[in-house]
Amino acid sequence: MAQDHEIALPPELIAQEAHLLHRLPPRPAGRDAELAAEVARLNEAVADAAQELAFDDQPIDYLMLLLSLREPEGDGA
Amino acid sequence: MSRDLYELSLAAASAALRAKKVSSVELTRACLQRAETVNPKLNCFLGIEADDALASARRADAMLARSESRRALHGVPMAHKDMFYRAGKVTTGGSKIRREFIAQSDSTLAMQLEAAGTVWLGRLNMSEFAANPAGHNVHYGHCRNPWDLEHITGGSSSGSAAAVAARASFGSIGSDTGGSVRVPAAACGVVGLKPTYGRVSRYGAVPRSWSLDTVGPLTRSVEDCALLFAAIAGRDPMDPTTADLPVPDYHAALGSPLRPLRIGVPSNFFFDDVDASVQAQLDAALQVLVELGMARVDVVVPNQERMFAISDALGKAEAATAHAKWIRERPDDYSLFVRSRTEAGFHIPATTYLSVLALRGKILADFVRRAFGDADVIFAPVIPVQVPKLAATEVGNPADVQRVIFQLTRCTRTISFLGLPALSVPCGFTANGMPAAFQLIGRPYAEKTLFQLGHAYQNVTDWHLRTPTGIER
Repeated sequence: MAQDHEIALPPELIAQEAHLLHRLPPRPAGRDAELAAEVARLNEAVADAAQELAFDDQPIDYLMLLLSLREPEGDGA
Repeated sequence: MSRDLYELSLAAASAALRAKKVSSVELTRACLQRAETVNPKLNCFLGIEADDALASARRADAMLARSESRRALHGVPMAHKDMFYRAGKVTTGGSKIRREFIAQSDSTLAMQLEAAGTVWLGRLNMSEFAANPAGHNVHYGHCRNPWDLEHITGGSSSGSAAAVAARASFGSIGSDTGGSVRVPAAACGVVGLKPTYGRVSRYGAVPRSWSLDTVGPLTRSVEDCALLFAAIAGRDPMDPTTADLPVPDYHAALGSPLRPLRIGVPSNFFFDDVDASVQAQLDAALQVLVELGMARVDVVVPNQERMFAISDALGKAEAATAHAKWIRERPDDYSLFVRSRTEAGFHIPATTYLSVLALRGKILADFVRRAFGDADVIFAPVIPVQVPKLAATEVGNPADVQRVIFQLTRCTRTISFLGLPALSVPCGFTANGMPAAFQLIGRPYAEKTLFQLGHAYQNVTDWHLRTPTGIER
């Protein structure tokens, strides 16, 4: 799974973002490094999946899609 | 009625009320007494509202005496996860931050249950801000599993599952963002429904992740679940994600002949890492469904690993947004677990978040086309491992603890990302004596089909009738 990848962002970047962008209080020692690894893992997983998105894809109405995919003789059909 | 009233199913209590064989006050007193008896060991209630409940029960009885209500749930007492606003009442969301928060208005859920004539017994324990799949709560104390006090209840609807299993509430409403109804239902041996995204209003419910949150019932049987779900499903102008679809008579549908269904059994992901003891119960349950006339078919479920990771990005980004102000101003009022679980969301770029939302529809369409191409319902584990002990989810090597926690939602989180309905049904006990369960996953809005199939299973099995013992103070 993607979380097994050994990837990381510089912890300083995460710490600066937390402080400058979000005005969060300082975190315990080592926590920024853990977060950097987690954020890198999440971003990489999404970037990998997003390769399926095309430049000219239109946004999909997710709620309408749910309605359109319900079983033919199911609830509310 | 000779047997202890709290032992009745919700359906039986409802029928007895309407036949005037029992009063709402009698049922409410029985549940209140049961709650007082089991709560010292289970810690499933955060607040028992005896006076208000009895007053409500008296009003319900008066209406029944005047034949003013024939609603199925009229006069039935229940307690619910402490996350649904009621005007003038405390709603903690399981948090320290909202320990004294008093809602100014009712949630839609509270209004629906009031309109249905139910009696509100009290507030049930839950994971802090619905953010811990083990069910832990460091602020109010952990809820204990009625089947063994040393094991987790699962979460985040921990108190709901424990109270229903302990026969202290005829049913309960919880919420499910990544497994928070199904996991505790499975761990405590009760039924739990995560409905289709948009089937039940979340207005006035404590949020975790707007794109994933659903509200659903936990009950002793599938029949009870169908009754309770009918009272809360439907369109709500206050929650624009709710669908404008008619709500079927789920309970009446249970009496209809069940057409032979194709049960899809995933050949990838869901059964890849299942404990042998859990697998044995799943195999037996599947065999029961086949003997009921269902056809087993193998299916491939696409994108599971991918979904698991990207739904995490979605959930964390939304949770961080909701909690930004408090994490900034009151970080020490969060448990370390919840704060840690939320913080990564601050660092998810907007482009990543929007990519996940863009991917969601594509992945859903692909999943439905491929998984439901040859199947009507998907059969899968809920918790792929034996219900762990509390200690295994709290102490020791952090990596080991993280692995145990990860396993709890391995089989539920992707279904939440898809927004599909899933019904957790108890199916026996594993080697450590704890409950096992399967989930039936349907196409969008296929709750009726899931109820029919789950009810058919429970008609020929008795796992849902087993009750935990030794939990009285």
